[in-house]
Amino acid sequence: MIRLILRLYPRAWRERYGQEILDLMGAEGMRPSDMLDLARGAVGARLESMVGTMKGAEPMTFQPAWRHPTAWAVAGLVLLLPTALFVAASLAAFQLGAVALQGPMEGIGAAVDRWGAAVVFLLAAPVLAVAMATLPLLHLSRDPALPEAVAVIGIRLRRLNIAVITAALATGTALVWYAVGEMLVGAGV
Amino acid sequence: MDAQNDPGLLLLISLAAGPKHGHAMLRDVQRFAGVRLGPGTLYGALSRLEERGEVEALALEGRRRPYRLTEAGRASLERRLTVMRRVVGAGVERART
Repeated sequence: MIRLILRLYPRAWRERYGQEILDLMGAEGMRPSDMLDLARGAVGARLESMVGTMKGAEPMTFQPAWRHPTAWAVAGLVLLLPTALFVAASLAAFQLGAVALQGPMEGIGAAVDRWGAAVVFLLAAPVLAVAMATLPLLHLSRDPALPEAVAVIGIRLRRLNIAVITAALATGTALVWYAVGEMLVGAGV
Repeated sequence: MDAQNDPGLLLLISLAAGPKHGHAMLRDVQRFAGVRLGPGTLYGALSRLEERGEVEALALEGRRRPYRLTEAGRASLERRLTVMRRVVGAGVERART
């Protein structure tokens, strides 16, 4: 688990301090709060790395996402799939009038409502899928020709990643639209 | 100003007593400040101190790498403690009136 969280850190940082953290946690024992602390530290290290890039340090990519763009896109797609199917089936059942789907979708909808974690998962999946498919495409650098510290964001184009991003955005939009519609109906508007 | 919320300051104070590796720093800070730094906080602060030249890494001792305070680090620590002492003094004095 620690190794997995350490993967969130910039590679240079991880190579410099990763082994020490592993040894420290081996000696101290890992608490749940340590995992959160490490994850929060990773965000800070990433931001500092971006600032360093803007000051002229090495260009930055989001590793290991940059090295394995297809794997990250596929993982994002797998994460997105339940939400996409739920939204598609709900739209087909209740907006397009597919009667055969209405019974099963009412049951699934009631089960989702009862289990709060399912709602969180359905809502979070499109956001995470967008992030997982987008991060492997980004390359941050500084253009030395510019007099000011300006970050230049390079985007490489990978068909699968862009397809997953598009699908996740469409799913997320439909989900929000569907949820807002339900709320309005519930409020009697 | 609150030293407990400033892990960099806590590490400088710990290293002022002599070189230490990460685990020893963690224990030392816990002992004198009553704060257990998380691993991300500890090494995040350590990396910033190292980058600013206030702390430097020594040669590995087995699997552990000790760190020590540099002259710049000692000067920075004294500066910050002086400011804290002044603020604490003013606060104590005003609280009495």
